[in-house]
Amino acid sequence: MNPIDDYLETLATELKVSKKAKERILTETEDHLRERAEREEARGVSRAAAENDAIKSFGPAIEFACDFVAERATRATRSLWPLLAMPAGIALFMPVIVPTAYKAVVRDNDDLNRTFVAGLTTPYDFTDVAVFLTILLGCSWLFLWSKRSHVLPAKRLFRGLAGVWIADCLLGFQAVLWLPRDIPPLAVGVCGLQIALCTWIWVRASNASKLVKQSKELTERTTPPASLAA
Amino acid sequence: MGLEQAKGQVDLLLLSALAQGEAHGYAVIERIRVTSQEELDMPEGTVYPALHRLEREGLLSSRWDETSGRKRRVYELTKSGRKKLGIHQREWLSFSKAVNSVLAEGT
Repeated sequence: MNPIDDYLETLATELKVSKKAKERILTETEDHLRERAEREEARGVSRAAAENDAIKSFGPAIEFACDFVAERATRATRSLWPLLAMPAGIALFMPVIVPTAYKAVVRDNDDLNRTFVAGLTTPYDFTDVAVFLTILLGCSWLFLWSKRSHVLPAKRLFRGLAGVWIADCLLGFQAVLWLPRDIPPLAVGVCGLQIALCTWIWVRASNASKLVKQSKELTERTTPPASLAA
Repeated sequence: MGLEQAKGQVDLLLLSALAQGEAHGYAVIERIRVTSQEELDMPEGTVYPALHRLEREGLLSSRWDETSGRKRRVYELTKSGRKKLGIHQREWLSFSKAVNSVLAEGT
């Protein structure tokens, strides 16, 4: 293997980006290094020296990979904030929209006039309890996980997410209580939608956290220890 | 001018180089080096993350080109890229004018 192939192999290992992005970055890097080496060779430099010069001018593979991973991590984290607003929005509007829509369709005011407190006086059915327990377990899991996270921005992010989720689910549960007893599938649908959304955000958040961690690891590897720097 | 000074103005330099016409990464670096009479010699690897970011921001567009016999990504300035370049240029000229005035007073 020549120096350029070695460099590309290292880069391929360090680049934690999507398959498509990796392919593009590797192709661009290879084109750049080979063009630069060819020009050096044309000036009379030996092939090996030309390839080494091209690599030296390009910079270390880890630093190059680090730039891409850090950028990706920043984007992934930023893109989560608007997503967090989504369950919060649903939490706020679902308890209003669902009973209102039901009222418009069936024109039955009796059940809709019940308040949250009044709802508690009625016996829970199996669906309510199941949904509530799922929510409670989900929230506990999320809190425990957020405490385990050792990446500071991700930690804050997960805590924020957990807060929104709890508010969301409590309001969702209130919506379940508001709904008339004879339509449990709709009640389950309301909470199910929230759980699905939160799970989706959870996956995105985990991915962002992973990227932040990878970026941090790469940065640590490219930064010399303080003792050496001094 | 060295690396540190060039780093803060990478976007402006890349957009300016591409205002001269579409080019692939290596050609963009060469343009900057030649136009600046070899004063701006940026670490070549720093250019690609910046090009990718500018493309995501919609200031550049890119396509694969194989006319040279090798597969390479060619970048081009978009309409909003031209607009942004104009803004950056005005800001930079105003900044450098201010710095020059202070320096002139000091000599």
